[in-house]
Amino acid sequence: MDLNSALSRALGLNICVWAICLLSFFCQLHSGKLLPPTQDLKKFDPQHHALFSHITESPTQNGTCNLHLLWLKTQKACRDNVWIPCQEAPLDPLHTIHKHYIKNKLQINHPIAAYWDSQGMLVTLTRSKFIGVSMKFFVQ
Amino acid sequence: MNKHYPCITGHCFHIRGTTFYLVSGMLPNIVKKFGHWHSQAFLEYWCCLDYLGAIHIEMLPINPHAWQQQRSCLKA
Repeated sequence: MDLNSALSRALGLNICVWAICLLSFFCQLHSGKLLPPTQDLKKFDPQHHALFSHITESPTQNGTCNLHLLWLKTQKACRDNVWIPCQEAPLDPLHTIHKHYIKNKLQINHPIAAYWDSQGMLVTLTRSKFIGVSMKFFVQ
Repeated sequence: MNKHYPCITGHCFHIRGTTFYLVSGMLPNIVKKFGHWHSQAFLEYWCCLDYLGAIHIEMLPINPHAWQQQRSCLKA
């Protein structure tokens, strides 16, 4: 993946973007399931988008985790779980999410798609921002 | 715009993830369930279809009866 080498890990935004890339790729998730429409944390709806607390250990004991989704557009509010599989580094989504959680100094009740911006404000990663950052590196 | 990445949408990582699992040899009905695809629309999005077709033909067992039994077990 070109994006892996292109994204600087010094920026919280980039760590967040990389975590969302791997999560949506390996969990086959549409980015809209993870990313809210606005970056304002006050408008964030935990009933529609995932928090860190929605990630739980899988009962299969093979290292995978479950992500509990409360809202699926196609099922209209039907709850469901997706599996987050283990992969080899540097493409392991679980390791990357953990790294994102630690480096961005987030808490369990924060959205997965959150980061601290340059003004020290905790904001959520929107789909347009995510696509904008991804595009910026893909077209280089 | 780079010719290799003409456009990125919210669906791209979803679709590429689906293609990754299919190329890895995961059964299409498992990939469909795992990816929360609720209609046959996901067939329209399959990337690398030529490559996938070759892989899945190659994976066919010599004994068709055993293959039917395996499919019946998966459906159950």
